[in-house]
Amino acid sequence: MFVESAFITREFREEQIPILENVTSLSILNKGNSIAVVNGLLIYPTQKQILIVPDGTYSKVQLEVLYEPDSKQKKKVMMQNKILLVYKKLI
Amino acid sequence: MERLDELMDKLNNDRFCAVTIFDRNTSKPIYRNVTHELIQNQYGSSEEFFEKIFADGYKKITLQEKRRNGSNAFKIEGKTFDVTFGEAKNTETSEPMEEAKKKKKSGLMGLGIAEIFDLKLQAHDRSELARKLEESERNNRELKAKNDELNEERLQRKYTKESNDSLNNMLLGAVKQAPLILKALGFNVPAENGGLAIASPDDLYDESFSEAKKSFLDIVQTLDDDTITLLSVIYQKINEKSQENLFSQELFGLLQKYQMLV
Repeated sequence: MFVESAFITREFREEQIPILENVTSLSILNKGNSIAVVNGLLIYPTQKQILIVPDGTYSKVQLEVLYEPDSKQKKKVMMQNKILLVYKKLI
Repeated sequence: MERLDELMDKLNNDRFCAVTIFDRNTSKPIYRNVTHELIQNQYGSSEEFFEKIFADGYKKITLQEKRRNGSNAFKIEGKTFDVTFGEAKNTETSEPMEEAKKKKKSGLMGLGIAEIFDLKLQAHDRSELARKLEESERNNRELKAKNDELNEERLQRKYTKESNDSLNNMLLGAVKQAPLILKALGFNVPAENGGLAIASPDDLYDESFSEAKKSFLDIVQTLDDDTITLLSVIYQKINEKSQENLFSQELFGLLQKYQMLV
């Protein structure tokens, strides 16, 4: 029995993201300078994307992230892989 | 709605009450100064009168209550108000009120999920920015301190250089006072300086020099070449016009130490 829900903000630099349980809504922001491909969805640097809208359900979420170099970026700049997840989960 | 009911009551009962009706679509009057008497005679009641207006196809109207003032004059009573007829006559509602209700309703809905996510992101950024600010402030303090230190060092150098220059001049003066120094060193130097003497053609070498120079030359005659070279090197070093003549400084210090300067 869930009592309440909480918003969680977490930053990830790696491709492996732990499985998130009881998620009711989820948004991703690309904070790096590379293109993040999250479960096949392209998220460009500084772009944010809501992946799960709150519709009264909750789910287990497994995200797979791949980072691709952005052709718009200067080649000399080192690739920074960073995404920020904001999600709401039931506790 | 309430105002319409009120007006209809008045039109039924008050014999001085009248109404002017405008069509809101065209902003033109449909009926002007329709009195209680006219309504009673032609339509029977005010309800039927409004039914007829609705039946004529006027759905959006503005009403202005009037009051009979004399036989043919009317004065305006109160403010105009809008009435919109729905499908049934009794469903008239005032449009501005409806809009206000809508606005109120949307205001009560709260934030959307996108807005909440944005706020969460801003909150996350805030902590990061606060950390960066703190770091920058610390750096700034450190750099300021370093800058102060460097400034101090620069000023110190500047003043040392100035004092070096004056030191060099003093040393050159001291060289001119060579007899005293030499005397202190134990050389035999005449006590009095004869000053410039008029040179005689026969004795030019001796007479054109001061006593000090003569005595120095006497000393020079007794010295070997190596010592002379050493003395000339020392003199050159003293005379050197470099920014930091450390040799001069140290020599000056040494001379002071042994009290060879008067």
